[in-house]
Amino acid sequence: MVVRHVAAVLTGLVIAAALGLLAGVFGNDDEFWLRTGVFAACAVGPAYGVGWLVFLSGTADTEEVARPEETVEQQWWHRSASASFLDVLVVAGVGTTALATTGLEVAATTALGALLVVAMADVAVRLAVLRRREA
Amino acid sequence: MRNDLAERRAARGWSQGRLAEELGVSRQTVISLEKGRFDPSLPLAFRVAALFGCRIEDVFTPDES
Repeated sequence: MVVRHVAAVLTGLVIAAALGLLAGVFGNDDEFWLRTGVFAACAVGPAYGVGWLVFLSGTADTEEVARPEETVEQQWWHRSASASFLDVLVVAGVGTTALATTGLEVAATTALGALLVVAMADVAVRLAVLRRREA
Repeated sequence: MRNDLAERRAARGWSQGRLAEELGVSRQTVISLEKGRFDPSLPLAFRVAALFGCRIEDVFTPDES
């Protein structure tokens, strides 16, 4: 399990560094290192999420179990993720309708970022509620 | 779904952790199973029955509706 955690962290660092470098290269100003550093720092969290998805999401918490797919933790995760997907569809639909009817202009990065935050918070809250209610 | 997993485990003198290890699942899964808050998958139910040398319906009983 320790090896998996280390691999997830390393994956996150590599992806964050790559994203930082890309942002630095494609930047139009002369602040290459500043832009690279800021983007890399901001990307570390989500990039670690990718590492977690690859190396840790198939396991149940800190225990190394032979069949993680049959654990109650895995069921909680699936239930909260699928319920959250429906919530995200509703939020995206309502948001799109609101923007279309009001004619308000919002940057795509802002809208997608907000949707991402809503989705992550939704899953986290649902998971916490399930853990508390059914543990 | 109700079950007598806790009694069968206690009869063998096993901890919840030991039973979880035997079944290849987490301890939390055993806790939820014993409380009747988690219905196991069919393969897991078969493993539970095989572990205690009985049939699935000897361990698990459907709730009366």
